[in-house]
Amino acid sequence: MFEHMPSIIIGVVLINNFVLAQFLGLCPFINSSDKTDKAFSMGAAVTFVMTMASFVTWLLYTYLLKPDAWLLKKLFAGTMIPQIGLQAVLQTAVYILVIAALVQLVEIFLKKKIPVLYRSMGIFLPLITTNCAVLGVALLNTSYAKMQLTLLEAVVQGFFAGIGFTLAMLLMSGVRERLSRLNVPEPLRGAPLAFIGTGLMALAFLGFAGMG
Amino acid sequence: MNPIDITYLVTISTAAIAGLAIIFGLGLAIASRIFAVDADPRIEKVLDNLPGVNCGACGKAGCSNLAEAIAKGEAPPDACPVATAEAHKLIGEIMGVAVGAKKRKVAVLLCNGGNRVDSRHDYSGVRDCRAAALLHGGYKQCEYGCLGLGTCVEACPFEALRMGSDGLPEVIEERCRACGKCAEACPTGLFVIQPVSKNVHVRCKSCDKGAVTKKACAVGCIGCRKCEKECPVDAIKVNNFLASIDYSKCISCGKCAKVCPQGTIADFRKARKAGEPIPSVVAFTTATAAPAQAGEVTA
Repeated sequence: MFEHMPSIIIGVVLINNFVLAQFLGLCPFINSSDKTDKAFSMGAAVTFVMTMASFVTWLLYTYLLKPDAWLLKKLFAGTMIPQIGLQAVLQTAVYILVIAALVQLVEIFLKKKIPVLYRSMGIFLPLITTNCAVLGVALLNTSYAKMQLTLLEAVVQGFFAGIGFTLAMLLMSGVRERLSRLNVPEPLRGAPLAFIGTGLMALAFLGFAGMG
Repeated sequence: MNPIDITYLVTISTAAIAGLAIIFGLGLAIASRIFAVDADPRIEKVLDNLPGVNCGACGKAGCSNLAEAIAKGEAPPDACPVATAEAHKLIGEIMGVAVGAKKRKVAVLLCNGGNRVDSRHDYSGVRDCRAAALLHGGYKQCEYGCLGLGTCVEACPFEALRMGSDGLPEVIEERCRACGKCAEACPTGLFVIQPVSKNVHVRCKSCDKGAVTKKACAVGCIGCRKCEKECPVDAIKVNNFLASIDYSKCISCGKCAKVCPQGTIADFRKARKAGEPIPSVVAFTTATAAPAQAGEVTA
């Protein structure tokens, strides 16, 4: 049951890091990586959403959307549909629905329990919904997976994708906190330099490619 | 193999997504009840008494923001400059604070040119005063005057401005709440927000020399200083060929308006008492003045 775990974990944290190797989720990355505590809280929120989303979307994919899914066989018996599966048609809509609901849940919870965090994250909390990294992890667990994943493997992949995202953000925030004290030319200050830094960091992470 | 029934397929897909949406919706509704944040009930009550236009004249980001600030005690109950005195009183009652009466202010247009001023070129650009003003200072002979394209009328959130047939915006004083949006919008800065007690205004902003002004506009200020000599409290001064009133000194006696040879200075007292809209044509009362155009009576 756990044979694939190490390769999944290293794959998604280092080799195929969501931000630095696959360039997904750059919006919250650039905007919340200027301070370490902001970076950590955004990373934690994204990790939570990714884990829950992986769980629910795997269930929906396996029992409703994929070829030979149980529900499809029941509903469309005798037609071509159980062979083809509905994922090409319904996948994006269903996954986004799930992710949006989960992000709303996180918002409701944070507003009540940690209002300071809620206010500091501001608009970027609901923007996790449209974050391609979260949709990306859901898709990578299901239809774009190189091999069929079990539920546990999918959830672990989702969780560690979030950890990889948080890692990249923490690294970036360390760099940016130091950059903020330097005399950067006006046109490059803030986001432009962050992008250049991200590119350089991605080059460094290229060193992990080919390990899988 | 049976053929695929498209209707059935679409029905099932829609039902599936709708079913999921309903389940998630219910889940979120329950979660929002469990994790409900206790909001101060006074915020709702205060918000009900605010105009709800979100104009930002109070300096906060919209009416809900101000309602929160008032409920927390960070802003006084009459912080909304745009709400009526009644609303201030009601908000004061909600907060348990007495509210004093405030002086009512309105916007006043300091220009009387409009269609009286000829154009120097054909302007076929964007129908917005700010755009027209960027091009060589506007298409009128007078660079300081009203361009009449209605940017202020659009900017007013209370529909208190109406473009008159003479090319000048008319202030409907009952509706004006002195929020200042028209003053912000006007590229030549022709609006002033003054209390209703100030009845005398110099309706010109032209700093051109007397002869130039007179050629461009029959009712513009030529800087002759007759008003300066007449004023009993030294409230009106001429600088750069333009008379301007210091409203902190002005007692609205109207003496300057009577001696102005161009009819630039207007006394709004009569029109305001009669409840009429402030008309744009001024009937001159001095012997040396030009005959009144379009023959309308005014203050």
